[in-house]
Amino acid sequence: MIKIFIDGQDYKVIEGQNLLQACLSLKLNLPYFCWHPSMGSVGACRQCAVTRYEDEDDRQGKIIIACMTPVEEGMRVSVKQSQESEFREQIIAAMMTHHPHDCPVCAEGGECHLQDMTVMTGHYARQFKGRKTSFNNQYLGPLLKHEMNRCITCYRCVRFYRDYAGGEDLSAQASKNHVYFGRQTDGVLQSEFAGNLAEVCPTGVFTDKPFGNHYSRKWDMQAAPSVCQHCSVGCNTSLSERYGSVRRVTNRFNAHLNGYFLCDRGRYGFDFVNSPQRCQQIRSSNKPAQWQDDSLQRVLSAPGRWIGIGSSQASLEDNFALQQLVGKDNFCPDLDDKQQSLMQLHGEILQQYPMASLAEIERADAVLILGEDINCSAPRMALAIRQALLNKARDKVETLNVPGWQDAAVRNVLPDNPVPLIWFGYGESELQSSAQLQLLCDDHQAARQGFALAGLLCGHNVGVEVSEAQQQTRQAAGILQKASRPLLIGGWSAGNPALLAALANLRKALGEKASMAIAAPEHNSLGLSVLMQKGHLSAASLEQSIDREPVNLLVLDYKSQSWRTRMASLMEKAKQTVRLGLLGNESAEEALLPVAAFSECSGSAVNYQGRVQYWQPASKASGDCLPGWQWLVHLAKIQQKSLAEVEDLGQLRQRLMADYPQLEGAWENDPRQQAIAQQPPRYSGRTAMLANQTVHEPKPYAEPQAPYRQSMEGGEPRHSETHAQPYSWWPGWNSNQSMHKFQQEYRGPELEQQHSTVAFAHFQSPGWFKWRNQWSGSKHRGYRLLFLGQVFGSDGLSLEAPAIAELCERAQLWMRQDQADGLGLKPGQWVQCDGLPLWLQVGISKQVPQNCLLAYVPADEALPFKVCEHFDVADLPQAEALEKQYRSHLDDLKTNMQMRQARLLHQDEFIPIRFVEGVN
Amino acid sequence: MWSQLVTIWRVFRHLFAARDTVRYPEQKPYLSPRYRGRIVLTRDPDGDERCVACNLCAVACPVDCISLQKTEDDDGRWRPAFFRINFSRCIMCGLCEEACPTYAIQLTPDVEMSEYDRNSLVYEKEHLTIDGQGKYPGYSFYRKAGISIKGKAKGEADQEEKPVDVRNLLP
Repeated sequence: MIKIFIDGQDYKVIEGQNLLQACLSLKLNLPYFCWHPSMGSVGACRQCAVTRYEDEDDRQGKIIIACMTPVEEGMRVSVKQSQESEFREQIIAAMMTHHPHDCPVCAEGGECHLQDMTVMTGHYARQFKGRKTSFNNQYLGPLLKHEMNRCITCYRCVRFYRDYAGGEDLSAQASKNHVYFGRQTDGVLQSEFAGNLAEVCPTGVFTDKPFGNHYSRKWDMQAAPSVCQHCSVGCNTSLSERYGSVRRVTNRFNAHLNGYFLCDRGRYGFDFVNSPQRCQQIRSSNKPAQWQDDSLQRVLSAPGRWIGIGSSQASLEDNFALQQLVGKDNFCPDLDDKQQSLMQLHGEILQQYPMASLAEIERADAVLILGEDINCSAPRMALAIRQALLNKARDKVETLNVPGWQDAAVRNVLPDNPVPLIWFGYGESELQSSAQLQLLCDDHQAARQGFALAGLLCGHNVGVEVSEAQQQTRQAAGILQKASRPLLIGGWSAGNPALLAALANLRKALGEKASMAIAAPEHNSLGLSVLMQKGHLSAASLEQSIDREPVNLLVLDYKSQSWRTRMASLMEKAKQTVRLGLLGNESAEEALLPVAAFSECSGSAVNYQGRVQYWQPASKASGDCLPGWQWLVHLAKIQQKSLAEVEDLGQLRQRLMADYPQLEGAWENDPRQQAIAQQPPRYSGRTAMLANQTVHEPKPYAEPQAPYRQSMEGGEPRHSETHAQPYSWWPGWNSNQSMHKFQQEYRGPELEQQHSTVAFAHFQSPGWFKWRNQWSGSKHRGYRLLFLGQVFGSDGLSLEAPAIAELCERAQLWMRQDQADGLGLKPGQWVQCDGLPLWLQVGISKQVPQNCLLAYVPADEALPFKVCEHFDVADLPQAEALEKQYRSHLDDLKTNMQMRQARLLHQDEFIPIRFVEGVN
Repeated sequence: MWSQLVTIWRVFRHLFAARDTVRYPEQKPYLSPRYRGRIVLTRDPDGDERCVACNLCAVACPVDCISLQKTEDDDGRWRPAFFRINFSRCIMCGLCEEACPTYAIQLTPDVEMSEYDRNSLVYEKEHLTIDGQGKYPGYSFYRKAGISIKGKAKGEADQEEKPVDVRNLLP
């Protein structure tokens, strides 16, 4: 800590910061545009000018740019004197000369950093009498809207898109007041982080398009702290609701995980909660039914064995309630034994080693990615790995006495100071292309090399002969040994437990200096892994029991098409099936109970690190929907099980903690604390929004004992030290940049409200994982298919969001040129494998291992095979038919989107007011 | 004593003074055009809706009696999908009119809004919209704004240059 004087008052600030950061950490209002806590300083906008004085007697001082000046002991500056204030006002005045008269029709209005800064500098009257510059806009895809007239040329967008996220198709063009930020031609932005531009841009050049189509001002939206549901990272998000429908997701700062950015799957995928496919009604034998109906009650109270099938896409509470209801020996966490063994292994590893958070990942100085396409399975983690690649350059500039936040300097020395990235695996991706050392191999080979590498590092055999190690593996051993903070990355996407074991061995071989992160497929995969500690039913024995005795199935269902196909065959054999369904009304089960989505109820999930995170409801459930655990409690009442005694979520969590003591303290809810109002203080229209249905204003809905209230009644979130912020707002700071008012230090450690519990105690002494024989690949004829994911397409839930569905790619099969020549296939052709009814488009890639092909299938189609020998090429009429089918699919998407829009607008006008007292 | 007599005299004189009250409703008092009565939504000089659904009236409203939802039509204009004022809550303060950046919402001198049923005081967009421009003739927001709409491409607004050719290298 050092002492500096600002406007004559002394403050203690952290050394090594820049002056702007220091001022913001002290909660002083200093305007800025181009600086961003995650992207460093470039000094492009000149907005954060302050006056610096030589000593106590200096009355004149000189104007400096705060974001480019490191704080120094005894430094004297002023931020409120007329000299610098006038300077800053002139900067804004210059920016505003060409800013259009758009605020009322701009989707950024009300949360615009430019509006805030203009008010802050006091600029109010336009002096420029000339004509304004105008620009043509570009079509940038279904996620972002472009309105170039509003640009103030702060360069944040290209710095984020190109430098931070590694995108290539957005650039700054032309010069002087013609500077244009866009693509070469119209087209979809390629980076999967493009959506962040809506938050990074300080004004309305890039705005969230799906949100803009169903828009509401920030001050009008009821918000809730939530957790992303689309991968195992569990990024913190903020959900916003208006008139009963969820409008958008924005980033919610979490120092350990997402920081300031989300991936586009997380930002836009939430829209499945508004899907017309949502189950809204109780159904019995595929007909709408009532809870009291005899036929339904008969199904629910059926005697015999009940087997529960859990879901890694449902919350921890729902799965726990299911486990309690059917008993641990009847609880099957997944229909695939491979997934179950991965769950178990990941849990075991977590009991031995902690996993690196994304913030820790960003600190690594050597990275090994073992057989995982992390860009698709956990995009936000891949972005964190990308930041780690800058660390050597940062160290270099700091040895030259330049601070690490001087972004231009860091980028300058980056080419000569790369962080070594080692890639063992297959498939093309952004990280693969920037890898220094690559080994093209399939997952078995990658796992064996991982074992061999661990052997090389610790000097003895750990299951695989060290002599198997290839040249790249030996080089990798050298790099990892030299590194001071090596990072090991893996995941489940290859479906191979050996990879996880190899990583754990590597972690043990490298010792405490190393860190590790393993990506799981779903946001609550690890939650099931916690529940499995008490025992479970394997998928194989589930099939056996179904064949042996009459079984009632109780299914928590949030899954993809391939899962449904497997489920269908089980349902045929089972006596009857009860589904707690989120999506899909038409199906064959005996009873369907509609469950509330994550935006409508509270729940928790365990992320890849074992971190327990919980979310709050942003809106009320409509139709017959209830949270999954509530349905299960009702079932327990019918079946007279002990779960029936549970009355609310708090009691269920108490039981969960009693059974799994390591979860103690995961849900801190002190009833003495004042509940937080989820509606902002300026929430409008309360006495009119329901007036067309009733003029008697209903009492606001409040769930008893809930820490948040879906009304304006309650504490203001910004004053709360115990509750997570539903939205980020501070007087004068309407945009998400208000974040710094809640942090101890801008970009500093965690927020006070974000304590978290890790669901796995690190009590076991780590041992070596031995190589198991079942991990070696079996002999097969033909080609082995390795599955690749896509950010848009591999996640079934997000495909229900229209914007993501539009970006979803069609099924593909990649092969090397020589393989294609051997098979007589050409890129772009459509093929079927072994006569199965799924068409894949042939693509050519160099990253295909020997005897393997790479396949990608969207989550709404199923791929039932793992090896394949024969390929049937589509002839011309078939190919044309496929094209036609695809075009009509796109047309359907467009029509569906319009219908959905009309439905949502109708719902805005006639709000479904269930749960509101006095109205039915 | 004297002051009481004076008071009685003054009261007596009032018997013959001219009346201030009028025989409402047969006779109506003059209310100036800027009087704050029933709220209307006006149209721009081309006859299109002026309201762009920016929500500023709703947020300015101290009794929160305005609610609306933005929608965007094929012509690129922002419009309210619905626009509702609950006049049984309205206090005719005029803050919505002051907040309106497009002169769309205006208060009129019509104050006769009594109803037996409170439901009849809930006005939707079709009840609020009038055919004229109200107190501010000649103003059209989209002529000033930078966004393009049908019939007004980029660079065609008032005080706007033609769109920049990004590929042009000339100074």
